Amino acid sequence: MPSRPVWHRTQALVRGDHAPRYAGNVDSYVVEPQSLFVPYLSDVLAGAELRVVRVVPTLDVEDIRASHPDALFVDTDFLDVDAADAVSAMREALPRAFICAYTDGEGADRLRFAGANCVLSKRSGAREITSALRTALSTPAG
Amino acid sequence: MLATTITPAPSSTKPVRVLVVEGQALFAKALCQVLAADVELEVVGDADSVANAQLRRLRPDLIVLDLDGHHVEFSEAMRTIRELAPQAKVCVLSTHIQPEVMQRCLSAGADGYVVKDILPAELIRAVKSVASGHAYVDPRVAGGVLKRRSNGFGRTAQNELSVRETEIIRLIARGMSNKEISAKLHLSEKTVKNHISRIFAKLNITARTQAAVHAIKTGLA
Repeated sequence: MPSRPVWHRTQALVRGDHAPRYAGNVDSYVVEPQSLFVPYLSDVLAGAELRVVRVVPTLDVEDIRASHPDALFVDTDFLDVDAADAVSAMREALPRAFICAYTDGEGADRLRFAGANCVLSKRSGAREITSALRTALSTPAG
Repeated sequence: MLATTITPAPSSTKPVRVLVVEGQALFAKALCQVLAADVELEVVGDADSVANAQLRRLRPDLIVLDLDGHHVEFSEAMRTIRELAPQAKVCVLSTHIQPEVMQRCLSAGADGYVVKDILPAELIRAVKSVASGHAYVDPRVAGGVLKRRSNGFGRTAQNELSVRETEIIRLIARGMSNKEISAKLHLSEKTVKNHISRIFAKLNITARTQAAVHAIKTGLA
């Protein structure tokens, strides 16, 4: 395997101001336009006890607000708007939700500063993703 | 009147050997799952790049090739495939719906072009179509090609940008620096600079702003 840039590693960071500790199945809202990916992704998320309750192909903050899930899993590479702006909007809509950005692009730090609890790389395998999500979800609020 | 019973002929054809080359680990597994569910397709493996795909050993009939996750120029990946698996058809998977990107893939030797938000059933249809020797292009992208033709766009092949150059000019149009582009595409800054020099030469321009304007005018950005 070729070496990856540092940002490519799956990283999880829990921010104390909006990261309650989660236990058991967490109702999750997924923004992912690649529909053929959704069943497999849902299985992987289930491994981290994230129960997918709604999947949408495009970002709709009002729909997110109305759905008020415990967690958001967002493929930030397909958004029509800047990924960090999108995360900020989601954070504003759901201040206490667990937000996970899934990306192949650069800018993990921007996404975390925008309010993502966890930034996962698309280069990561299922086990790595599940492990990072479990760690981030179980980390107590600081 | 005699009833006619049509009995399907027993299938004597071997399943199509499909190799998935996709940089996104989870998406690759999802693709394999979708393709393997069809009895006429046999997924013989998956890899994160053409270089790691063991083409000679796996002898795929068809390669589903991710356009976006490559560390090398697409045309270089195609050359490797043609050298190591000349029998394989190539169906490109891409996030781009720009006709220019699709045209460059087909020019580089791809047999099909699908966009990643394709539905599973349509992906199966696309893969089978390409495997049987037909071309398949996402209808949205094909529509864009026809529109461009009717608008009289088009440049000589000599001046056409490669897939990588097209990616880079799109990122220039988004205002990204060479450093940011190199990080996004996993290339060295020197390689990015070389690509940009070639873009400038092909388009007969001297500044990034001109490149950005070109990208916007031609629908790349």
